[in-house]
Amino acid sequence: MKYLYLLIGIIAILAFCILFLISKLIGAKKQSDYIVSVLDDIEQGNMNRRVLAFNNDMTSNVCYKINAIVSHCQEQLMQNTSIEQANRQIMTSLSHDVKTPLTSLLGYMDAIQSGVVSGEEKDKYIEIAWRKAYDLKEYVDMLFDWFKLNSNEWQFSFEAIDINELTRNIIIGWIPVFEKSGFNYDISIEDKELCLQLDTKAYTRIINNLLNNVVLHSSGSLIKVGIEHDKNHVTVSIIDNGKGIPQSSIPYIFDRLYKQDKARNTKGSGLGLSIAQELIKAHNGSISVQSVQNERTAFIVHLPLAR
Amino acid sequence: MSDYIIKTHNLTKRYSEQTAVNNVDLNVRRGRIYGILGRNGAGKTTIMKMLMGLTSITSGEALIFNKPFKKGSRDIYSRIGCIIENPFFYPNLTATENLNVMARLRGITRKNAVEKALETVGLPYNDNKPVSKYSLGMKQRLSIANAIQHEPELLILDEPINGLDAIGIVEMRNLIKEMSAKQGKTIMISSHILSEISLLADDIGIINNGTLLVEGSFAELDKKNRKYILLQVSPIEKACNLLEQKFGLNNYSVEDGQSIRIYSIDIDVAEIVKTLALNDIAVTSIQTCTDSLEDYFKKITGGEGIA
Repeated sequence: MKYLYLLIGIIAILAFCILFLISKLIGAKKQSDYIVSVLDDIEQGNMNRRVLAFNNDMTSNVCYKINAIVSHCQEQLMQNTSIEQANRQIMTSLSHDVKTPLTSLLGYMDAIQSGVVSGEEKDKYIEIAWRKAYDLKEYVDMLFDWFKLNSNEWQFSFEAIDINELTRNIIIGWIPVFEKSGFNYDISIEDKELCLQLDTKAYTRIINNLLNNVVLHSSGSLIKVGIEHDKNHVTVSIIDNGKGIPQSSIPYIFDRLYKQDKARNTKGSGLGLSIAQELIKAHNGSISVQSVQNERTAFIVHLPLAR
Repeated sequence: MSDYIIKTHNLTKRYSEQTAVNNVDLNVRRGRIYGILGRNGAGKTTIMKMLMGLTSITSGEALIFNKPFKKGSRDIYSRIGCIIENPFFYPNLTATENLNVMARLRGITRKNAVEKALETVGLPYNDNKPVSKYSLGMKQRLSIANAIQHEPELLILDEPINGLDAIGIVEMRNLIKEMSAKQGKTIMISSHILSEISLLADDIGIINNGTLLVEGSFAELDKKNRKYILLQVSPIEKACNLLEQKFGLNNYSVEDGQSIRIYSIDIDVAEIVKTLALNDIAVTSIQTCTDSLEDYFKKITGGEGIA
C-alpha cells in the first residue's frame, strides 16, 4: 500500500515539475516572440525602441545588451543628423546673408551703370558700393574660416610668442578705425615680454573679431584693452561702455548663427564670436562675457601660460 | 515607419451637456517637440487623457504609433511615458521603492534603470525619505523619473513645469531639449504660458474652448507674425537701392520670389509704393503684418490672452 502512495507522490511531484517547466518555456517563448517583434521594429528604422525585461527573467541580460547596442547606434545617428542639420542651417543662412547685401550692391551698381546718377552723387554711390563689396568679402572669408575650423582643416602652428608685443601691433592697426568710429581707447599692456604658445594668425583673428564686435555692435564711446597674468594664466580683457547685452542673450552669444538684431541685416554675421571661441579653445583657453545693460560689456579671454 | 507618432481625426469628448474637446485633428511628428497651447480649461489635459486611455473617447479616432488606439491596448503604454495631473505615489515608500514597483510592473530596459532615472532628475537613490515628506518640486521630479525610467519613445507631459522653482524650470527645459535633441524622443507638452512653449516647441497647436484653432511649426508662425511689410517688386535691386537711399531703410531682407521684407512698420507704406512706382519699379503685392505672436494669440483666443 505504502508503495502506491509513494508512487502517486512521485508522479505528482514529477507532474508539477513538468508543468512548471512547461510554463517557464511558454513564458520564455512569449518573451522571445516579444523581443523579435521589437527587433523587427528597430530593424525597420525605429531606433528609439527598446526591449523591456523583468529582472528575474532568464532573457533579461540579453534584453539589456540589445538596448545598450541600440542606444549606442542611435547616439551616433543623432550626432550625424545634428551635424547635417547644422550645416543645412548654415547653408540657408549663407544664402540669405549673401543675397541681401549682394542685391543691395547691385542696386547701386545698376544706378551707376545706367547713368541715373552723376557727379557727386555718383561718387557717393561708388563709395557705398565699394564698401558693401568689401563687407561681403569679409563675410565670405569668415564663413570659409568657420568651415575650415569645423572640418578640422585649420592648420595650427604654435610657437612661443610675446603676447604683449603681438597685441600691441594688432591694436595699432585698429587705431584709425577707433577714431573714425568715435571710440576713445585705453590700452594697458606691459612693456615686459610675456611669452606663451600661440598661433599668430589665430590669435590675430581672435582679437580682430572681438574688436570688430565692439566697434560694430556696442554703440559705445570707450574701448579698453588690457592684458594681465598670474602664475598659470594670461587674461586678455576687452571692455566697452556701450549698450550691453541682455542677460537672456548671454548664453547664446557664441552661437554661430546668433545675431541680436532679428532682421539680420547689420554688418557682421554671428560667426565672428563663434570663430573666436573655437580658436580660443584650440589654444586650450576659454572666453567669457559679462555685461551690464547700457553700461558696460567685458569679454574676458583666458589663455594658459607656457611652461 | 510613419512620420506621425500621434494623429487624431475628429477627436471629441462630451460630458453630457458640455463638449470639452471638439473635433480635434492633431498631428504630432516623430522626433519633435509638440506644444499644446491654450488657456486653462481649454481642453489640453482632456486630450492627453484620451490619448492615454484615462478617459473614454466620445467620438473620432486617434492613431498612436500608426495603430488605431483602443482603450486597453496595453502594449503601447510601455512605449509612452506620461505625467498627467498629479501622478500617484505610495506615500510611505521612498522614491526608489516607488520606482521599483513601477519597474516590476512595466519592465526595465537596463539593469540600473531606477538609479539612472533618479540621477537624471537629481533625486537621491536608495535613501530613506518617504514620498510623503517630499515638496511639490520633488514630487514633480519624481514624476518625471517615473515617466522616463523605461526609456519610452513618446512622452506626454501635462504642464511639466507646474510647481517648479526658477532653477527647476530651467533644468526641466534643458532635460526636455536634451531628450529631444540627443535621444530623438517625441515629446508632447501642454502649457498655458506662451514664453515657455516658445523656448521649447518645434510645432505648436493652439486650443481654445475645445477646438484646435491653428497648428503648425513654431518657426513658421513666428515668422508670419513679426511686425513687417512684405513687398513683391521688380526689379528688386533697384528697389533695394531706393529704400536705402531715399528712405534710409536698413533692416530689410531679400527673400525668394523677388520679395523684400521690411522689419519696421512705422513707415509710410503708401509713400514707399508711390516712390517705387514713380521710379518704374513694379509693385505686384503688398502685405502688412502688425501683430506680434503674442498679439496673434490674444486675438484668436478671444481677447484676454493666454492666462
